[in-house]
Amino acid sequence: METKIKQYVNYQFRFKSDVETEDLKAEIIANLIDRYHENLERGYDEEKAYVEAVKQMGDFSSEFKDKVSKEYSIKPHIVDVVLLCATVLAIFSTVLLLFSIVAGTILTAISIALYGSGAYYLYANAQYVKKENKDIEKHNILLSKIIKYLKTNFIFWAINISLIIANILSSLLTIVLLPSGILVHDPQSLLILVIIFFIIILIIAFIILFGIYSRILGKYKYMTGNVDPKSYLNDSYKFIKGRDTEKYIYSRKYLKLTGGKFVPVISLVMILLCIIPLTYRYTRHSNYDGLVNIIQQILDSFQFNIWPIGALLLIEIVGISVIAIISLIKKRNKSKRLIILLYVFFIPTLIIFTNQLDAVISYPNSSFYYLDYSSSALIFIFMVFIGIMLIIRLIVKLRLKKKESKVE
Amino acid sequence: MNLSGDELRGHTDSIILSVLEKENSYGYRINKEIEAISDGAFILTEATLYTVLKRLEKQGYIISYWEEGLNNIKRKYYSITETGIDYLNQARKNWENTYIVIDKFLGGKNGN
Repeated sequence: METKIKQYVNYQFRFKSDVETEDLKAEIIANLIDRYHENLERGYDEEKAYVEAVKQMGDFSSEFKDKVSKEYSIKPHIVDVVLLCATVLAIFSTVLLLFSIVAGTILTAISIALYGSGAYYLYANAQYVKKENKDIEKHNILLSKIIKYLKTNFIFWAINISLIIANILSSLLTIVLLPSGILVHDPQSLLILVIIFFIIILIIAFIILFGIYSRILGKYKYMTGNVDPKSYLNDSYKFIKGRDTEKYIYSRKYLKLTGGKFVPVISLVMILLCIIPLTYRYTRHSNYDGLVNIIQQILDSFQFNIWPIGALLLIEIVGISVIAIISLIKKRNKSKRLIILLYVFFIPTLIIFTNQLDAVISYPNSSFYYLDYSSSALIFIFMVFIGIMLIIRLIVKLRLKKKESKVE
Repeated sequence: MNLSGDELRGHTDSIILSVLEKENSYGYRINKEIEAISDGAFILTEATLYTVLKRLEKQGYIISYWEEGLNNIKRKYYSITETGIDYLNQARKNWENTYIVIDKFLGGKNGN
């Protein structure tokens, strides 16, 4: 039984292993053994004597600063599960939409309905608690539950809605415009069209949903006086990283918008978009597909005395890939790498873009150059977008440094 | 006897110090002593006891040392310091004053 007591105490302190804790453990074990013997003298059997002694140990969790979030001070309700389900469904339906528009749409609708009704219940409950029980703390916790998953949901809803609308629009356009012969009748151009629609609608959806989110957040802050609501993503991130300092909260607010994995992910998307026009151009002339086409185009450019473009393409594709992958893997020193990234793709893309613009002007009736042009324009828009992001990021970083030096 | 935990919590420091004032002691025996004096109404959990002991040691009211006792078990003994005794005397004074005031409100039925 004494070994059992030792095991129990060791288990309670399994996360700590310094000299002080070893002392404390030895002390507690000795005392619990004393108590165990006392219980035996009282006439308890071995098992009961052990349980009663161990019960006496109490809760050492404050020793580890293992504080339970305020959120859990009220009993979890079925509505919490509903909100979580809505979030999971929103994420899942994004994946499903890639395979089946109908199923994805239904799932998205269910997710929105679940979240809406869940949020309404929590809101109503919060109002009731405030009015009847005068319990402001509970009122605030209930409201914070609505906010917790909201951001994640909004992001996925925006993606889902954009995918759905882009699909509807492009199929409508194909039906209307196909007989007139304006649109090229092949799956590739249709895909590009869907992507263009998707991106435009996504930007609009993000702007609208961001507006709604800020208004809800504003109202939440007004109602609770809570300035920094914990979102589901932030909580998970902090849980994984295990850090929660003032500086982190401050920088997180601003840098999250402009940096992190956002830029490398966008640049990866851009590489894909680069590949589409490159492959398209050569499907008319060569028997090769995909990546082989790009290599061939690069080789061709060297042959036909336009080697700078081939070289730039090479630099761009290799450069962006390497930097994007490094940025995704390594976390430190990201800003410097991002500036290099900006230079690596800014100049070549600009040159390729003007080159193709020139081609469109020279051959206005050529439909395949039109597609080249549209995707290049898309790349250009992205490029400007990321450029602005990087500039904002730099400014924020500089301001952060200034603020830090002032604090010191 | 029905003792409210909240009422006692504010006095755990003084209670432990008062036990140590009589003689040097270790965790289990301190707890036993408290149990005996309060007729079993007040038992500290190990967690509370060590949090308080640690705090008192940090504040310099008590010091600790290891000693081998019965059955060859090593125990950590605590002993009160001069500052600890000063603190305890201050706490006693404060308690007397508090008692007088609170007793005016809640004391005996013939108070009015």
